[in-house]
Amino acid sequence: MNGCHPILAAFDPDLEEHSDWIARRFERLNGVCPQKITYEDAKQLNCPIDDWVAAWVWDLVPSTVDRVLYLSHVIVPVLPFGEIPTTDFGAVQSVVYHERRMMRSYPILDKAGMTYDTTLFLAHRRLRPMFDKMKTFHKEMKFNIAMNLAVRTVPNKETLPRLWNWSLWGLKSTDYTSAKCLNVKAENRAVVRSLLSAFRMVLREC
Amino acid sequence: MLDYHPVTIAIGDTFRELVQITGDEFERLNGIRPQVITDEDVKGIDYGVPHFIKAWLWDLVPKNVDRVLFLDADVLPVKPIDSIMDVPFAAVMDIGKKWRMHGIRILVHRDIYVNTGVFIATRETQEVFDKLKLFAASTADAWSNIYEQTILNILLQEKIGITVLPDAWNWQMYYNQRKGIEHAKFLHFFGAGFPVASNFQPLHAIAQLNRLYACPPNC
Repeated sequence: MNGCHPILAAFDPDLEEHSDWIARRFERLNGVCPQKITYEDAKQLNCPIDDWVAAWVWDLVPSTVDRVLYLSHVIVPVLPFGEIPTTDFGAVQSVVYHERRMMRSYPILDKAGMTYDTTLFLAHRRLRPMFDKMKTFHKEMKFNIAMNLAVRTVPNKETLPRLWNWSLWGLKSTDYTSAKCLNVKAENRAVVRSLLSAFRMVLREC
Repeated sequence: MLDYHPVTIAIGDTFRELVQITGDEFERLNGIRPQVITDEDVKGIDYGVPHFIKAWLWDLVPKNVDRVLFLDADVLPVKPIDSIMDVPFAAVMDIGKKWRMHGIRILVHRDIYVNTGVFIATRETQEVFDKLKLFAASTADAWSNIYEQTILNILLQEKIGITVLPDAWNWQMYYNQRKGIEHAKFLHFFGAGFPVASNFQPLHAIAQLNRLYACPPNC
């Protein structure tokens, strides 16, 4: 992971069983066990216990950590990451139709032409002030919108290849086995749970 | 193991694409290619909505077939079948929307209501399937919301009886939140063949990874 600190959202008690095997699989593939953000962690920081936890990431990692790879609870690791880019911010382009449509309702994001999928991202500690500023917006908007608005002004950012975070509800693929991670994000938690269970089974993680 | 004839239905392009995946997986796991009933096979049949094609099942399989294992096109085989139950009709309890269950209780006052995405049936049931034809074209609009499943449940319980299979035979994705998916032989992705449902992609991804991580035959 060339010095990058993986951190996994594991604060949802409903998905606790899944975050355990996801962490184990991640470690087996990449040689590093991701730090888990538990419900207790989130509660202690008094931050929102939802996607917004990601904005508090620098309050959670050890002070020696300079770069993080954030993984939300909908990410299924499939293949090793290999070399991690040393960019200040990196994420894949958002390809889920309803998310893109929602983001485009913000003229600034619409003008940008593309938005990031924030369920998996790379970030450097240099961006901590940006994360701290984002926190103040947690009651105003969804996390992915806030993050996309915030990173517009980050000069050293990179759009990661789709294989890094392949959304199952986005563009059709003919080869899912080359993905580093699959993304099972869905509005309905039952769908997320069901897909995580199915992937756990086929990846022989039972 | 008892002889059985695997069969599925693929009407339209998306379902044909889907059945290529599910058929490949069935063959890989069980060594038999399922028969696929296509648009060509049902030309001239006034079935109304495609769900009712099942009513012509016994007309569409070869005459010498006595036992079928029927699979909807959106059912993904994930484990081999080790045995087939020797009963006239068997399927897994439907765990979908509650109103369907209430509907069937009112109609037959019984607690069994199976999902017909996967079933085992013998030719003994032909009479029931023939009756189902009567509900197809003539009442297609009235029945299309509850599909052929409810009528089949009623007819089977009146005439033949239904044996309930374990969940593993038809793991109803998203609805079934119970433990035990690791024992599933079939995962049912409702509506995966409809372009709007985009269930196709999870099914495709799971099929590919299941194949990639499969144990070699001697493991």
